[in-house]
Amino acid sequence: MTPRSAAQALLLACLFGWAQFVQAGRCDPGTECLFAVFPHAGAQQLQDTYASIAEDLSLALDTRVRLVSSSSMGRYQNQLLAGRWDIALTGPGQYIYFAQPAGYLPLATTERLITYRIVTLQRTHIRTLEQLRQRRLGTMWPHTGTRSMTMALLEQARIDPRRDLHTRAFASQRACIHALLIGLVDACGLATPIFRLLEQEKPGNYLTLAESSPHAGGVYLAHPELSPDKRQALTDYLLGRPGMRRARPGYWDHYRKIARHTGELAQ
Amino acid sequence: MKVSWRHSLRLRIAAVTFLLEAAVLGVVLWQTQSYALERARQLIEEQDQIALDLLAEDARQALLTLEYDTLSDVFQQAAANPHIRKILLLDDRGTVVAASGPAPLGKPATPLSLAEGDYRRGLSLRNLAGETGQLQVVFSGARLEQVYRESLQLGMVLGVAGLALIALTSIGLGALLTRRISRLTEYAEDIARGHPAVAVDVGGRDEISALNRGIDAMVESLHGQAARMKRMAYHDPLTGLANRLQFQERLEQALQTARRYHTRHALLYLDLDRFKVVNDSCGHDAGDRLLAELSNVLRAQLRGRDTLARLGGDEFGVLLDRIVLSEALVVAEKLRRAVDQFRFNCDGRAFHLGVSIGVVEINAESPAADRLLALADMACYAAKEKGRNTVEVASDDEASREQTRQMAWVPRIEAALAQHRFLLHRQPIVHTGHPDETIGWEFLLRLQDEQGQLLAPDRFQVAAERFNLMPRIEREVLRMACEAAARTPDHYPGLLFINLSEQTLGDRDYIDQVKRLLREFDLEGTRLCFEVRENAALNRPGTAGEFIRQLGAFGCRFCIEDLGNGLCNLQQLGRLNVDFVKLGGTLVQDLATNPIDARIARAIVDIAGSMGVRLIAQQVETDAQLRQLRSLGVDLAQGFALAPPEPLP
Repeated sequence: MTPRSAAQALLLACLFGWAQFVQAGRCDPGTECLFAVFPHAGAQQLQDTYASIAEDLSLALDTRVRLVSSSSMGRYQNQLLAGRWDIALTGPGQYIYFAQPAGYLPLATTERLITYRIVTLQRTHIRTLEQLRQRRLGTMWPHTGTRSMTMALLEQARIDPRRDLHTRAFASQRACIHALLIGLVDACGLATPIFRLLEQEKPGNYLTLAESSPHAGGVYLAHPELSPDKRQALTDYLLGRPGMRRARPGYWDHYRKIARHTGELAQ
Repeated sequence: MKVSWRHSLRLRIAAVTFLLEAAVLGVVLWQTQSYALERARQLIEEQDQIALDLLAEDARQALLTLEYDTLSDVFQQAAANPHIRKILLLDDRGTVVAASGPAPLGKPATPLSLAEGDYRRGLSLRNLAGETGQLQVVFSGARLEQVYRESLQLGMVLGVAGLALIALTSIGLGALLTRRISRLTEYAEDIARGHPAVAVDVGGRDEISALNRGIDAMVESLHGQAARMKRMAYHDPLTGLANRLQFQERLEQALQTARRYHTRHALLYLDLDRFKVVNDSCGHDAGDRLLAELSNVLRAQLRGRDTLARLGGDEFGVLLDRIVLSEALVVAEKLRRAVDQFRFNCDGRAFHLGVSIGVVEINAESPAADRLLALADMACYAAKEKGRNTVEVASDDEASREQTRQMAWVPRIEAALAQHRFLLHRQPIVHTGHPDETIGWEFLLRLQDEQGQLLAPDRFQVAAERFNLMPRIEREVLRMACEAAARTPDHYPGLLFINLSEQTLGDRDYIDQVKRLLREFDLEGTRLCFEVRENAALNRPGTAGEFIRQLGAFGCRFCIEDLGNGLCNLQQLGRLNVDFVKLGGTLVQDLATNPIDARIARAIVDIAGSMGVRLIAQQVETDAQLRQLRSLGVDLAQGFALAPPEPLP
């Protein structure tokens, strides 16, 4: 081989490698696929709950799926909006406010619907929502399903959150429970499944003041750039898990309705 | 009795306490230090674990959220803690994703270098699916070193302070425990020194208190014993009067007073007359009773400040305080009269006694106490010689001094008798015509003095006779002579010539002893021949005659010696019925030179021949004397010319 031909061969090889690199899609083998879970619990708890799912997803996609999250709900929402996550598990709020606009596709959700509730502690001597007037209520970050459903419960009780009580937004439901336990707020608006987890973590004499009707809960999403076969593989895996069902966009219409009612979502 | 501090109980208690407490302190300090260090190590480990857990929480979050920039900031803030050297977070691939300082981020981790004392703790961050990362923290070992150093310093400070405190408490404890013992020791020392011990009360109800009470009881007992001993030492148990020791001390005091203040006192020496009669007649118990009764009689005649003492036997001493001689003589006469009027009743008989009193004045010029007593004794003796029951004033002239010298023999003779230091020599009496033919042996008395020297009788005989000691000496001589003749009869053929003094002539005990010894040694009475000086026999012819008659009943023979040296009352001699007559030594020695002595000797030979008495020439010292004696018809002789005296075989 002449030097000239060798140089040509090397150039061709480089071009091939670059082409391969440029053409590599999300979650292709050899790449790292990010599976993001919205920060509804502590890091360790998220790890313990979803690490095995990430492992299973790795097998399903034949690539390394890395479990990630964000340090705050705001960051998570921004990342979601930026389309950083390949696979995401979000709450109803993140889905309708950020994921859907960013093009994420719903894959699966739990068969079991979730409720939302406003809880207080026995020691506050608050026994009804009416007694919550002029008290301090902890809510979730804006653009979350929990916050939307809390506001809806207040509205049903004819309590104007802006006028009749003092609200305070927290980055996570866990932070709100902390605030309730140390007396920074008198009640918290929470999603019931998360409340059950936190109740085990932070036992206390909790009292539920109001609870919503059941609605669709969290949803597994796939980035729109994920290839159809990978989405299918993901869907197959998720639906194979007990208590899961295929996700339909209409499941979260109730949330959209509330969001439009409050003006957080355009009509 | 002083106890040196090195051997004191106080030091021992302090030392033992100190050692024990120091050992306990050492163990406690060591245990405390060990525990404190172990606890510090645990605390540091716990702190490390807490720091690790806190960092791990953030690390898990970062590993989940991939927000490593924030974590690096957290690590840098954590590393501001001086106990944390470096923090690294590796992901599940071993890639450094966050660090507290410069680190190859995004590259595989290399082993962390550790400074001396530093140590590394790692924590694997895991979820249910496996390890998600690894947190590595390098901690500084300075904390542990600092804890060690501070613990050591604190231990040393505590140790030194503790030792000082223990030393103080040990000394204090030693002093506290022995304080009462020390008081008792001082108390005992006071008692030992004879100081008037003021009773000490150390208090309490413990053993020391019991010891205190024991010492008190002992002191009380000692005081009682001392009082009894003092009384025994200074008093005569029979009469209750002062004894000789106390009397001598009083005499010394009186003498000193006289010399210092020129006062005058008087010493009276009393010797009872005829006391022996009571003793012999009624027994010694009666004699003792007499002395006790008479003591009261004498005491009644004296003033309270005078001293009456029993000096021994029937001798009393009176010290008249501050009195002139004339008044003392009045008191002496009063005493004499009191004794004279005293009657002692015993066995239905009333005994009449007398007392001879010697008086000596005590003034500034008086000699020593011993000499004063001797003078008074001599004056008493003089009173006796004057006929007894009289008062005699002492004088310190040459005669008195000679008498003193004679009196000095009394204790020596007494001692010699007690110690059997009287010895016998013998000298043969032989035929003048046949000097080898011994007809008997004369026993000659010798006294072995305190230095072992042999003294002839002329040294002590005068004193012995004067103080009536001869009977005792001669009884001893008789015993020794009989014993010698019985023990070795072959050495004593013939007669045994034994000298007798005038005093022994009236001694009934002597006659009894002769009888007893003849029986004891199985001797014939005919072998004994008692020699009596011419003067002695003629002074008491009646007594001598009776004595000779009684001993003659046993077959004993008699010899008058020194005939010719005295008055030579031949008529009296003829009545004594003696067997032998010894020509006096002076007469024998002058035979050759003095014709008158030769004629006297011839006359004596003739008279003796006519009386049937055999003549013995004594002190024959030359052959000329022997020849002349032979020519005079003296057939027996003794002396150096024939055989010198010799010790008994």
